[in-house]
Amino acid sequence: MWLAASSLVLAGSTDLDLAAEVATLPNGLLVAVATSDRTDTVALHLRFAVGSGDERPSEYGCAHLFEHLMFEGSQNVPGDAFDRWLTAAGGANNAWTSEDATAYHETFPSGALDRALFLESDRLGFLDAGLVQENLANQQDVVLQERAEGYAEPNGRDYDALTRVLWPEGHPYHVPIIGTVDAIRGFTLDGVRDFWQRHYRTRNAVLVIAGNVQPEAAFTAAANWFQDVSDRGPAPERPAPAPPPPPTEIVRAHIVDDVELSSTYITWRGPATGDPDALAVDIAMRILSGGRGTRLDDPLFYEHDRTTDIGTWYGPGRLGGPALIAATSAGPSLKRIEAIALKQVARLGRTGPTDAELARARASLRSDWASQIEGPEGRAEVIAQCLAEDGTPNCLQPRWERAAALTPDAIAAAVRRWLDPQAATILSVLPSSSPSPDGSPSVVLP
Amino acid sequence: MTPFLATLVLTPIDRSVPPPVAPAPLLDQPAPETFALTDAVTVHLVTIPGLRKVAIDGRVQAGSTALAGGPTEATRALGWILDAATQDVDGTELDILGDTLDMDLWSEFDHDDAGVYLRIPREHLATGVGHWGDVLLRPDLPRADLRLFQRDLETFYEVEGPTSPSRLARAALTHAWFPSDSPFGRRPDLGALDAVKRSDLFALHERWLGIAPIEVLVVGDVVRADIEPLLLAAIGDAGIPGEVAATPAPSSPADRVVAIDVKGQEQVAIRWRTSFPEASHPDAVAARSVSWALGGHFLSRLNKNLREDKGYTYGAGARWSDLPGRGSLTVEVDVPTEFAAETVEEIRKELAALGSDGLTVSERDDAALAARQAHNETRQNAESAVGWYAAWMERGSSAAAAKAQVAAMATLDPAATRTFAARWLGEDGPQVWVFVGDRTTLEPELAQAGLTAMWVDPDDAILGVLP
Repeated sequence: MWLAASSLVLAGSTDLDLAAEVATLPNGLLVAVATSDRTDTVALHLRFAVGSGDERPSEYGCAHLFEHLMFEGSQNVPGDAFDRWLTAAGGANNAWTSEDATAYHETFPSGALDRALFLESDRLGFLDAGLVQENLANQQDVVLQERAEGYAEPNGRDYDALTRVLWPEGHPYHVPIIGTVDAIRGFTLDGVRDFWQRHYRTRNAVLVIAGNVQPEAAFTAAANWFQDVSDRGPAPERPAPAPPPPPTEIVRAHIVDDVELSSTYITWRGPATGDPDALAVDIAMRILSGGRGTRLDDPLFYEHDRTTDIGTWYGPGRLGGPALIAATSAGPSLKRIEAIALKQVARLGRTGPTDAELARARASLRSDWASQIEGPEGRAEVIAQCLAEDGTPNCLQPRWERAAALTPDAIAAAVRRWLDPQAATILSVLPSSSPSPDGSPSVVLP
Repeated sequence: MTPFLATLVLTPIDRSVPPPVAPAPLLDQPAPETFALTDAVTVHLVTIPGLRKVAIDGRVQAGSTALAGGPTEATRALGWILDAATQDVDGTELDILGDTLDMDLWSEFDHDDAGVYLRIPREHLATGVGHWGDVLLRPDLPRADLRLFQRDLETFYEVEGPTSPSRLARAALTHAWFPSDSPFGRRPDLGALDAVKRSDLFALHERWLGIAPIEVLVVGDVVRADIEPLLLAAIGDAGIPGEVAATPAPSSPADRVVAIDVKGQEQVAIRWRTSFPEASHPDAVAARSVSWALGGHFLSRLNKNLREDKGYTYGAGARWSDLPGRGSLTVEVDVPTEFAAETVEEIRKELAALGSDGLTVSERDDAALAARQAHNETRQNAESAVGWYAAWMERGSSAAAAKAQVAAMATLDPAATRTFAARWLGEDGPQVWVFVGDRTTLEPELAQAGLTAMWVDPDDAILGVLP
């Protein structure tokens, strides 16, 4: 008996159902298979529970660097053969890194399933053969160029400054995902090998296969190709610092950049993934901004000429997530814009949304989810996320049921708990030509 | 536990060679069912069972070129605010409906056509089609949205565009490639932007609807009996149009080297463009294969050279524009300024190598497989499906011809790609180079590459004020 566990989640009738079978291979790799046959395409998504938040101080940027190194060769897939052999099968691939996870994903014709599993299993099991100085040095250069391209664009440094302001020094989310120039330049071969040994383990990963495959064939292929990938031990313990104490007053900081318009980011450390308030905060941010008739967009954009851009965003992670209001001034002072925005947040916390606002925001949330899982690639990614965060492949429908049960009072209470207008952290991005800022500290971007 | 999992016997694996791949089928995409809704409206219907949403593209086969000889600030404004509100539903209500019904409803005004587009879940189809028809035929064109448009575009021209290397490169390339008398090269006009009035837009809208028939493309889990009455109710009263005026042929591009001076810029954005076949050209099959091999994927020649071997860039690409009147190939790469001359030289070498040797058999095969895979993903969702049908319709092609082109890529003679590349990528064709970087460090690099540039300020580059 080679399977530790298996479960079947049956297909339902709604657009949020994520029917998938799940099993664990003997080496601890969790595998999920979801079938759909509208096209011939199969998507493979391999997600590791390692992101920039798992890095040690000497490793800033290492999780993201692996997004590059994983394509530079492994024991049986030399040099650039990962891309070559997948491309020659009609496939395409990419990868991404967040604070909490790194994911590698491919799409390919159904007849290339063995090829894709061979490639993925080889770099999970035997990447160390490809971790050589030449590849490391080359990818350090490429990552530095990636960073430079982003930073050259207007507001390209905002995210870097924002993470440093929002999360205190020493917090796993303090340093941006791509890392710092010095850290990227400083990686050694021993260091990246150690990082791979610690984090790239079967018990620290989820493999999802979605698309034109039958579960039996897909599980069989996965079991075959991962049979010689050894179990290198349990998933490493992840940093779990106590949540930083929330600010007790408004905290301000600024950067001066090569921009012509001033921007403000009004931010809070929002609830973590899985927190009972996470959905309520998501919905609250949609009530604040998301088109005509929302509480910030009308006074700041549509009805008055105060901003050129206004928006909200909430990105929950394992240790919390930024909830932010971002606005670029069309003329008025940032203080004026901030006052209007914070007044609206306070009002939402005081009186809650109307029924119509709540219905609209909920529908927008549902629409985002439903769109994301329409094709095999998105479906595989969401199933992997569900397994990582909720322990089940089919997390959207239960999440939706929780969202649908939220009342206006529950939204208001979550806003009061997480989006205190008197305790926001505000980052101003100022043009170099602007008058001297208001005495707030300048954020240093190493 | 499903029974087969417990009894599975593992098969020994061989990692010494990559496992073989079963050939992928080249899927049939059904031809649309075409019918005349009225004398003014033709419908093309593609029924795909199981799609969550229905996609409806309503296009008038005339855009800014037929209306005004190219995009003007007024045609841009009409495209921007056509979807803002209808005579029955104001903008706020329309936005709320969009969220609550999961409805995407928007307008676009292009050179050759312009239209209104709808994506709506099947269960809300009737409501969605009603609003779509109102946006197309009975828009409100609110004055407040016109003001927002004017402010947004002015902010782009004066603030956001001139500070962004990527936007500067895009604008400068367009203006350097297309002469100002070309419909595709019309320069922005800040004075005209301020002068656009709501009454101008109503007149333009009326003229637009009178200039050409409406073509409606419907893709989704829907049959004619479902959609025809809805369309009739929504746009059955569209007036009978006149004839589209013939589009004047654009002037030919000329060789140019344009550099935009951005102080303090450590990287340089490099763009190169030359003429390339349009989609209807007999060389289109070779064009698709060659552009893919040159810069269409991670291991394309440019990426292999400049990213994987040298580590100069995060990514290099080659982009083929195959639209009528706009056939071109563009190379794009950003590198540290100190490598600009060498990068130019490497681009030249890659182009020359294609002209002297053509594609390898494996490049030909890989390009064909990539195209096959893209073709086969058509029915993934309503958006991918309608995008595929709309693309070949815009190019005057057909579902069968599109499939045949993908099939032809697999049998393309590699020697023919050599002839093709020598013809299209050689030094005889027009060539435009654009560089965005700091003049102090970039100018010596350009001299080393043998290029003499016309230097332009960022503000002028965005507005197309080139020497």
